[in-house]
Amino acid sequence: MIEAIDLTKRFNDVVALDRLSCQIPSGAIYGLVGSNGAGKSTLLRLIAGVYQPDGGTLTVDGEPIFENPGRKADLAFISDELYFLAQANLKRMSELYASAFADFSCARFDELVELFQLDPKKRIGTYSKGMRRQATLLLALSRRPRYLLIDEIFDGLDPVMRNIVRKLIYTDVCDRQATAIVSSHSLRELEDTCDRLALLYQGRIIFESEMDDLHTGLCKLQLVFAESPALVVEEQLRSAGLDPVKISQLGKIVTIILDAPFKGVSERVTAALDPQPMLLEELPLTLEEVFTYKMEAFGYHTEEVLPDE
Amino acid sequence: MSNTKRFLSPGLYKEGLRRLRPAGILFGILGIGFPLVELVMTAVSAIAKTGNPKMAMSDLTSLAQVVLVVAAIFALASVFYLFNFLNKRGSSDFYHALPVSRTTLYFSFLAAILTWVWGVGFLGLLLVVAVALIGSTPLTVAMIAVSLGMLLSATLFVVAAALMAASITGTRFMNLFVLVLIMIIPNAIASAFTQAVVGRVPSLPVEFVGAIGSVSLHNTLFMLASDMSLYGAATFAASIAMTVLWSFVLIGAGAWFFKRRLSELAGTITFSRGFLLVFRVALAILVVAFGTVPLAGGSGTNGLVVFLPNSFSHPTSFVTLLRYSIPLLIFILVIFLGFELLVTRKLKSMWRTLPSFGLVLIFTLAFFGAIFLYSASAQRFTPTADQIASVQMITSSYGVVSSSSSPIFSTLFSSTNTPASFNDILTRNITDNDSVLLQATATKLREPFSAEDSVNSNGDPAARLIVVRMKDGSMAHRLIAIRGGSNPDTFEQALLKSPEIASALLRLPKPDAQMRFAGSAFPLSTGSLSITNFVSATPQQYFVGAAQQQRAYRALYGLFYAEYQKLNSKEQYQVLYGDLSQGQVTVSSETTAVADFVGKGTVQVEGALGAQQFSNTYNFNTSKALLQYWAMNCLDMTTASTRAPSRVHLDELKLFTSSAARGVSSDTTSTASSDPFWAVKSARFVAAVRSGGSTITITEADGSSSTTSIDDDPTETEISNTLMQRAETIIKPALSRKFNLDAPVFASLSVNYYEENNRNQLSQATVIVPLTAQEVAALQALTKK
Repeated sequence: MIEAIDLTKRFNDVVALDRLSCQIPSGAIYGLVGSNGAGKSTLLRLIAGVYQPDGGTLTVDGEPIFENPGRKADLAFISDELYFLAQANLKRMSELYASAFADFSCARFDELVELFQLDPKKRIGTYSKGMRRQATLLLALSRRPRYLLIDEIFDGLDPVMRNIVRKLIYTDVCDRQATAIVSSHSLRELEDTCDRLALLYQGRIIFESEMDDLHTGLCKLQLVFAESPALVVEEQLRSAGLDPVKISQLGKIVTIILDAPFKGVSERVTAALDPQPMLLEELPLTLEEVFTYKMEAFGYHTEEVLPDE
Repeated sequence: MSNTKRFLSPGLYKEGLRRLRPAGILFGILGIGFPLVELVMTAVSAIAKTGNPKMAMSDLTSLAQVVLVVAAIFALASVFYLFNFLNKRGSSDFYHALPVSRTTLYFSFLAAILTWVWGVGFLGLLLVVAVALIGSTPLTVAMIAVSLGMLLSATLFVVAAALMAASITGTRFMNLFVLVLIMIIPNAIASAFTQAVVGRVPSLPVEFVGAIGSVSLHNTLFMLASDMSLYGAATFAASIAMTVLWSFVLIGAGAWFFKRRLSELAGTITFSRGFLLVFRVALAILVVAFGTVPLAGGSGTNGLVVFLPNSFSHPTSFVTLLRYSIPLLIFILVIFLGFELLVTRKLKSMWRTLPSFGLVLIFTLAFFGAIFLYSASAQRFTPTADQIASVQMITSSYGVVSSSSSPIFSTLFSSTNTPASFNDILTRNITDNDSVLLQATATKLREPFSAEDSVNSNGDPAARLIVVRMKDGSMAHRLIAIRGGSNPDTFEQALLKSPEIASALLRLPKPDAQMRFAGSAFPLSTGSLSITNFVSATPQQYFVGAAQQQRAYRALYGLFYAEYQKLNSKEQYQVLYGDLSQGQVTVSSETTAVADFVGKGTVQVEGALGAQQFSNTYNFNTSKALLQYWAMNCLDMTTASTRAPSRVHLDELKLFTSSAARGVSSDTTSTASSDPFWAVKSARFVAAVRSGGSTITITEADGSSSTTSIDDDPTETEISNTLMQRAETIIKPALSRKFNLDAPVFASLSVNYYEENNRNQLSQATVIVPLTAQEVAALQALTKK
């Protein structure tokens, strides 16, 4: 488990992480989302032992990570700025990894080269941006690390590759109880990937939740009335003990977001309303919508916290 | 790999080796290739001249220096290549996330660098030693050990300085900038201090101006740029030890900073503004140091000549001083502010640095004051004999001018350092406390010494470097002028009265198999030469082969050595240290008589003693050696005319009476008229001289060159080439006979070696031979009509 308590990191006058606290359990995929400068990369570098905290504590399996080779051996960190040796090909990079990491598996490397269909003898300098990203992921995954830290995980990858990477991470997490900590500035990218998500803003985690809880905590209903309803819907729902987070109306169509699980909610809404809707449909919420509503509930302006999708 | 206490990670060490492989191979090729190319080129040239490539394999020092320079550049490149990850965020992330401690990472890469650098250096040195052995260069185990020690320590220092620079900075520019500061600041300040002090006190040797001035001795890299002949094995050993110690300090400090270095420093200038302040002040101090040299009274050429005229070398008035100090300080301020602007690119931060310029002003005042105080103290050093505990001779041939003005690269890339003399190596190990010598030393130290005293009228070094140890435990190095000649001065006499020093001063190196010789006994066979206006750089054909010449010189030196042993100490002193410009040195009447006729020869002897190579040039003037030298001249002439009869010709022939012949030699003591009573010249010679080839430049094998004018003497009678050939036949037996001092008539033969078209002279030899009355008559008959 990775645990941060009041973790602080400053760069001269800039506070990149401000007394951040979190717990990342083993065997999970932990997503970090936030706009540029929110502190995602800094947090990952601190977890990787690249940066030394200026305050607070950060432990991996109960031990501080900075200058702790024993713990760092369990981590694979993929920075947002990729590193390759000058003029090197993938084969040469595998030699570097084999020299530097005791857990590097050449067999696994060969398997993944096959899977990613990269030419190991071709100079990495000639690879496209996406292929370089693949190359780094491939090298890191060849170690089968206990903790996989990936900054901007899907940056430059096409949808097919994203799925492959997702599957590889799932497999490692499921089969070996590995932990993946991935960051992205895009919620959509993490939606189908993570078990748990943390939203960073100005160096702090302002919201953190299990993905399942996110999806089960809110529900979205679309109702169609025979006539345009008066603004009595919200009143009627509140009277029935239902707590609408947001109600929007477009002609005869009313969309309701409720802070309640889906189960049985349709019946309760139907019973509470008069006139009855002609049609009631339960709609899935996107992760973005969930975050938006949650953030607004906390008093944040979504456009500040999350970048444009 | 998970052990935090481990200094080395085998995996990272191997990776470091692998990363450096291409550069290592390249520099390995250069390290071995440069000496090889130099060697092959010299060998090819030697084969063309002598047919013997071994003659080329002589210069161990210059080859070893090339290896050192290559290894040092490789060391620098390796550190900046392997530790360049610190300058980029992506690579910094990668290496700092490795499951090793930063200390392990630092030392694993350091070990890889040293393996390659030392490997390349060692191989290069091995080649040099092999070459030296093949070429029969005088070589001892101690010399190899010193060379190896200097190579290893100097490259270690470069690596250490570069590591320190890389650890505390975050861009390539700053890496290099700080490296330069670390490497040269101590030496530059010491050097500037030394130059300024020596400019004011010429009797101070530039290499030994107190503890500060001797900084270069504490670093083998900079020691190479100084006059190496001054140092003994103990100095080399101390310098190697100091360099290693200083390198360890830098490596340790580098490791400390590397461990504490923030990963986010990658791509930024340096640790903090504090560091930037240190760099800025250091840069300004560097400029102050060199700008202060001419102000303080050092040589104008060593300072900021852009501001200060060369003629401005000894300021005395405060106004003059002020006049030149102000533009200097303005210049330093511009550099000070300019540096800040360059690295921060912020005008605001540039102005904020102004208060720290006070540190530079304080340093300037302190530096300037130290120079004046030290100079004044040095000038006051005139101890009495009672205060002196002992005296030690370091060298008898200290060259102030040559040693202080040689720039580092010309020294590194050429072998301008002359090896120490055999006697200097012996005397510098002797500490004498003889009361007469101490008194003479005290007297000598009160005599004024100027830079001009360091050379005699021949342009040769004529200053002794001595160490004076005081009874209070202090010591001082001083230069004193040698008043040589036939009458050694009080100090020299005092030296000779000390049995131990006299023995060391007057000892000749015993002939051994390692010795190599050079000289001017074979003028037609030695060196390459060219004629101005006509032929340039024509390879000279050797008539007497190199091996034969070495054998002849060895025999000559053996003879000289045997004769020398029989001389008394005063005569020996005159033979070794007599100043020819002050008149003929009389060793014996027999020698004088021989020298009057044949002149004196010189032989250069090179050998090895302990950790050092020595080189002595002897103006030998013992009778048997002189006659042997004359016989070698004759051998050269007869061999040349036998081997190339169509190109070697007798061109001028003059006959002298016995008394006139004594005046022909330039070394003669005779004041008699030296006019010949009969003189002829060949038609060939007249044609050649008249066509314009009146000057020939002769380049000797040792690199020295001389110019000889060949003039058409109108008093000589022109005869046909055929008649001259007949004269040659008449005179030839005289070249093989023993020299007869009592001969009635002596002939001066001028023989020229012509190029293919038989018009231009390539070399010339003149020799005086005794003739019989019959030979004289036969010669004179040639011109009777």
